[in-house]
Amino acid sequence: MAKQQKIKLDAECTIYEVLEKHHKIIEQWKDLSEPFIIDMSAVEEIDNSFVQLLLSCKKTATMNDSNLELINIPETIMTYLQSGFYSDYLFPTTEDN
Amino acid sequence: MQEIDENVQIFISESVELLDDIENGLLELENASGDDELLNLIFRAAHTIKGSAGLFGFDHIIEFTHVVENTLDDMRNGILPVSSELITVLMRSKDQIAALVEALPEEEGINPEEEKELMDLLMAFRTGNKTESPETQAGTENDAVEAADAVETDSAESDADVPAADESDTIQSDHYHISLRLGLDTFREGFIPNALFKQLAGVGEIKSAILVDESLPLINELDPESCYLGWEIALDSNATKDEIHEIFEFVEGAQCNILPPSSKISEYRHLIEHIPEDEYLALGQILLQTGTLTEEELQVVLNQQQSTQEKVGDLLVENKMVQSEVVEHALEKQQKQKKNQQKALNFVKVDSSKLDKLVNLVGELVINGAKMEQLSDKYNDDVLHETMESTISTLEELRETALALRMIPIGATFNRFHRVVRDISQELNKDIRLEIYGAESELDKTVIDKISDPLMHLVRNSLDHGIEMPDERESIGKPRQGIIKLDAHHEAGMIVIEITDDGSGMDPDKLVEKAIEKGVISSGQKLKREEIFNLIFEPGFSMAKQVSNISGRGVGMDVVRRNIEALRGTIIISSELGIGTTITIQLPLTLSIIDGFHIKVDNEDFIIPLDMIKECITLSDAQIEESSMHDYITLRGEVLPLIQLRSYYSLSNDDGEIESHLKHRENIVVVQFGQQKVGLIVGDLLGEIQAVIKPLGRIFKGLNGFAGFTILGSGHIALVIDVPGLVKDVVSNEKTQFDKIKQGHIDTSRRLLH
Repeated sequence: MAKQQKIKLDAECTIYEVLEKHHKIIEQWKDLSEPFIIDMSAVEEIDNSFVQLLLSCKKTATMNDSNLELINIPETIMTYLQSGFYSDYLFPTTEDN
Repeated sequence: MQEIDENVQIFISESVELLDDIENGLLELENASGDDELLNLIFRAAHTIKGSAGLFGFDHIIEFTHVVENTLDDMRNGILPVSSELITVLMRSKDQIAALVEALPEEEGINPEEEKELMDLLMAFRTGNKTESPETQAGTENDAVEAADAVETDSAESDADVPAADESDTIQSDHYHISLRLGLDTFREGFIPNALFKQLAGVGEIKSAILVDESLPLINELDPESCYLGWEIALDSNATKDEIHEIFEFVEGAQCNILPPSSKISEYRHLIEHIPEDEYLALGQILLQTGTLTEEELQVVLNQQQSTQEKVGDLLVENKMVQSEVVEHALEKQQKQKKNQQKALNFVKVDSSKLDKLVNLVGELVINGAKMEQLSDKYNDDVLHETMESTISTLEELRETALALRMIPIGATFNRFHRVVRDISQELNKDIRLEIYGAESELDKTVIDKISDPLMHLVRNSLDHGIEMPDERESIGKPRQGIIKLDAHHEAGMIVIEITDDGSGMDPDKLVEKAIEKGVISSGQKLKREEIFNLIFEPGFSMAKQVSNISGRGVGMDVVRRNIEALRGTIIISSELGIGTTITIQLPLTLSIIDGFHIKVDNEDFIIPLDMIKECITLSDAQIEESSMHDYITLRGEVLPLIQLRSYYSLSNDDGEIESHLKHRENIVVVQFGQQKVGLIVGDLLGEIQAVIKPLGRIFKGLNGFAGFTILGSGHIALVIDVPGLVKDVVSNEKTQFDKIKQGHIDTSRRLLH
């Protein structure tokens, strides 16, 4: 069984930390064809640059037929994602049969 | 009756212009079949002819044009595809309408078989592309055409209120559609994209915002500090486009295209209709005025246009800034503005004979002015001199203005060749493109009228003999499509017209061979390269292997040269075998005025055209001695034949004798036309003169050596020397004499032998 690729982000995820976060994600997500999990439980502040990072991860997962999972998203963060209309992209709904 | 005839004349004149528009539009359409604007233009021209014919009750024209109009309507509605065969039939149809118009007030019996064939062909095209039967078409077509062209008529529309959006306006969504792409440096500049959504929510309701990831790199390629975000946003709002655009005004580097709701199409149409038609506006200006477009959007499109060369209307639709229906309405408005501008008497049509009379009268004024100036020189009166100077200056300006009235661009003549090239290319199964440069170059209408036929002949020669067949061109590494270029430009007070083709060029060796075969030159005769190419101007000379109905009979080029020389012009050929041929024609801008050199031969005044003069020389004693023994002198190592004008024009002295010997202090004016140089022996050299040239009366028709006459300031008449005619005449006479002498020698020899 493949090792689970996962990262837990800390509180600040803005333009000032986005480079560092990017490096960490790349270090942890070595096999792009395997799912990647981002634990957002500790995240307190984000901005659009960080959201873009998440979007790029989502696109990468889709292109490699794998999956990106964002877990333990604080409510304030979810509200932010929704206000910028990012949630449809990050959390696409599947149609019921 | 007089009034009706004048109105018919106006109809005919305007129809001719519209038919030219149709022909030019069809020619363009062949290379741009998807151009809706062209199709609309052609359709409107036909529609206008039909409508105007209706005012006069020209039923036959209405009937035939209606069939053509229906075909064009199918084409512009996308029902009937554009094809070369269809364009050929439409061209013929245009010719038939032209024939009907030209025959007015007669209507019947004009090419009935051609007309019937065309109507059948057009119907066949249309029924081949429609599912409904031909019988039902006639009934429904008229209504569709009339409804679609309600904007074309001048009848009042009910436009007191903004019309409600009708069915067709709600095909698209009824929201603003905003395409937003943020710039790369958005994050670095501290801008928060989410704030935009808050502001949009302040002016309306965001129905949806779909993230666009087309530019977003994958995680390993991402620069996380650069911004790659974009959205497609549907906004329900009552705000204007400008108000919405303001929200994005300060977002540096962002591209924002805002497409108004479909329900606004009717409103925009209404606003466009209300834009005045007395001034021609660019498409972007029309759309700005109606609020359909913002300044920023227009600037984006104009910048794009510089690199893509696409039309503004196409770019606006492609960029989803304006609906295509709105662009079309704006284009229709533009066409109306253009037409009105033309009608607004920027141009006045004048009978050319009236212009001729005006130029003549002004010329007389100038001559009388010069006389008055000479008379005033006898009086020592400063005020008089000053007034005369001012009068002369005004008269000369008046003459220049009068002459300028006759100047028209050569473009209309050139443009006619598009059709010729197209038709003959098809006939010969060749692929040939015509390129035109310098169409705006102006020259006298008389010169244009007289140069048309020679140009036509030269172009046909290029088509027939110059450009190779496509397969042959390909086999020698040339593009399959041959090119013929027509170029006109002004040079040193003359107009230069060049006809260039990239065809097979002329083989000098074969030209010489043919010339010897036809007895034009003798075997062993040495000719310069230009002289070899000039052989094709000899009567009966043709390099064509076959005579076609296009060219090849050898009766054309000598006539071409003669016609050009009759206009005081020159024609020169240069050619490279395998590469192509260039024919250069040089013509005066006008035939009415001549820049000349005033000379005297004994007591008679003459004018020699200045453009033919190479130099003037005073003979040395040695040269006088030489010329007394021969009819030539040696000038800088070259033999210069001489013509004694006194003898040629039989000018007798006071004793009634014609002195043939050269006198002291006589001069030589060296003239050249084509490759021929000759020295004219004259008396006094009196300087340059600009003269209004007048034709000699009919009684002098058979007189050689004169191109006309002018009246000098002194009141004396000066004859204008026709240098080419004079030289040809002398050469011809000498040849006759030489032949006689030669025959005389032969006869003598024969007698002696026997």
